[in-house]
Amino acid sequence: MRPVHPFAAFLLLVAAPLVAQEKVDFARDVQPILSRSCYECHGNPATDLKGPSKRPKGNLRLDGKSYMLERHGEAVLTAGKPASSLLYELIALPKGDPDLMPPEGGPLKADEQALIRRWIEEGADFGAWEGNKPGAGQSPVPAAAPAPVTSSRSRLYEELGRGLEPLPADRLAAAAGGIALIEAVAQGSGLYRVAFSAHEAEVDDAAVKRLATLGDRIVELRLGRSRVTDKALALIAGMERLARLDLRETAVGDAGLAKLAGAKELRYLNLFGTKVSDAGLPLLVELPRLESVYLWRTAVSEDAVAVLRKRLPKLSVVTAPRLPANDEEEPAPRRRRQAN
Amino acid sequence: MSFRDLARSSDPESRRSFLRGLAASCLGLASYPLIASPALAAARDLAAFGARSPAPTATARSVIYLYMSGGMSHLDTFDLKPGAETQGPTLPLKTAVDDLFISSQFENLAGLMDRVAVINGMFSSQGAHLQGRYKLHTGYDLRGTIAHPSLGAWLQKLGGRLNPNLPAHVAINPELHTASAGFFPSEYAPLPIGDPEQGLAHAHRPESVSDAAYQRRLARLARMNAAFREKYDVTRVRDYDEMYAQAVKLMASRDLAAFDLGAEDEDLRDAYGRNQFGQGCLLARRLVEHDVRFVEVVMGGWDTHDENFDRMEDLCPVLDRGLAALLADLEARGLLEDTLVVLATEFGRSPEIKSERNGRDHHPKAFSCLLAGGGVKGGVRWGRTCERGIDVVENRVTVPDFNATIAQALGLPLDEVIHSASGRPFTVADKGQPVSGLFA
Repeated sequence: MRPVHPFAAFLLLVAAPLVAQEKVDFARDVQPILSRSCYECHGNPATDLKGPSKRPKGNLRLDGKSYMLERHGEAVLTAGKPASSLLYELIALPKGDPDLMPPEGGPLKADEQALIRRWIEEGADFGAWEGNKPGAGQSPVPAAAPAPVTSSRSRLYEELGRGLEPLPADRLAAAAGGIALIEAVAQGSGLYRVAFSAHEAEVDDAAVKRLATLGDRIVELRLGRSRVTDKALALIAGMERLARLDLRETAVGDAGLAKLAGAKELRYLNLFGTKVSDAGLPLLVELPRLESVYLWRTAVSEDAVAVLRKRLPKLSVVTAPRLPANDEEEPAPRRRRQAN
Repeated sequence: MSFRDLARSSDPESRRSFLRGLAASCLGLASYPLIASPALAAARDLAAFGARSPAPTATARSVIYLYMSGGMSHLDTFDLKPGAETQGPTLPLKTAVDDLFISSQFENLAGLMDRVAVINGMFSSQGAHLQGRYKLHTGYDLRGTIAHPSLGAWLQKLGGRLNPNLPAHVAINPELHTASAGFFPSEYAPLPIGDPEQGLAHAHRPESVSDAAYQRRLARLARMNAAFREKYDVTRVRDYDEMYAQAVKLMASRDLAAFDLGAEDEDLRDAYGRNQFGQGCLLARRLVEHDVRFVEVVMGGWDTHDENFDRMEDLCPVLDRGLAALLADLEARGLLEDTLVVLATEFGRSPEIKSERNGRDHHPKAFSCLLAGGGVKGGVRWGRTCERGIDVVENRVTVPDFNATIAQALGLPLDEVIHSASGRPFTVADKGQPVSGLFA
């Protein structure tokens, strides 16, 4: 390359801005570049886009002024600031960057990049151009929103919570007493689930008494491994929408079970590792909607379980697990190999 | 002089490294010291004691995510094709569910299949290990410009902790591109447990140091740090203080027992299998009992390019024993109704048997995963592959769909957008749609 005379270089430097004086015209200079290189993915879903989904990629459309002024996390356009405009930032990334736009057909030519940069620097003026507008030229078949997924639990809570408004936060906080985790069962629901993770040792009958101020709003109550006693069960029986009660590994026994009789919505009762015995089992008949009861590591005998199963054939009575037998030799791998 | 240099020069190294080690392993600082600012997010977790409102009704509170690293052959596990030339010597076994046959290696699991949903229609866009593993864990493709958070980190972010003393998210036997915090602050990273037998290392006060002496030392440490803290009152220094405080809190907590497998009966430990995976499953159950929300257990070795059928005889019994014991044990404790057990892998293996090596290669366009408990229907098969196991021909489930199904069970808002530091929008399962037919 021929060396440039120092004075010529100086001339070029001062002259360039002079040449560039004429303002970039969006419709004449920029829009054709976008149309050629961008609309195939970021255009009108009805006419420009390829592929079966006909959805603009990243939900970004560049075929209308109003679309380009929407934010997508970052601003697509910030007048005067190309560095804060996704439209420029993504076309000017280094070659090989996976986010460089357009992803196919190579980057825009340097002069095209410079033109877009200048247009933004000059204020991102669209002139009279508006392009497509929301509502017009949409895909003729809008994608149907998928139906919300439901489960037996969500349907039950919907039914139990019908017409109930969420409770005020101060009332929930008072009932929580700094140790209970109280969550609405779903967004906007007036029903709550309660647990005491990490605070089980502080949970005694008094804590249950505080909770009882939420009365019929509690549908799930987890008291596993806590210090609650049979006395608390009378308060719990008063929670008339209670569907799930976890008492595993507590001192609750037959006397407590007897107090539960009024819990008419109870579906799940976890008595794993409690003091419940054969004498308590007949009381389960008083729980009309009970679906599953857990009795492993209690004093309950197999005979009593058999009687209960016969009496309530639909109830799932869960006792000791059938674990893999240990009679064989150890099934450890004969040789170890790493993945890859 | 950095905070850590200052600390090092002022106290015996052993005590310092012990505390720092605990802080790091509890709060995910191990590999990325001082790069994140988790104070705000931590505050959100601690503020959780009070009221919160998730989006859909959760059917699961916790997840035990069993990850079969290397690509588990669908034809030799849960999608058998008896009679097809692609089947090879693997034999079918009748299960507790009519018309559902699994590999004869799964003797213990067979009786429990009425608790399990078998997803035979899995489909991934990624056919290499790292990329596939990343996709399964995050729902997104591996890219150079962003690190996506994995499901456990999303659960902690959108659902919060249940137990403020324990990490929300634990990874047992982790590998590269399994669970990670991605672009979330480092405290969303899983607590790594390299060996389930060891539990949480460095978590106990040495016997030679009395509690009073220990408290004095902590107070002295606080005094020595005070001037520095005053001078550099910035987020990162405060974060470190917060992590020390959390670690000390955990040391004093009775929840520390969650990490101790020694508290379990020997018979039960045998039932899970005396190997890393089996004991990892048992540790996962203990952690979920203590309200850790997401526990991943990784089992490697499934990359069976060579001698596929011999190696299945080694691998499947380990999986069979660990998973069957886990399901039975969770159920008997009343925990399976609220705990979603996931069995996942990066892809399946080619139905074509490579004759010279007697192996199978990578096959991402059709494979199988399992879901059990946590409100998911048991005894169902979802999706179907063609008669040779090559293509999904009915009810295809993409990786984002699979992750959306897990997120739906956990009651996470699928459309809540979290922006990365550069302002890019991300959701828990990308654009995946939950499989509604899998919910009971």
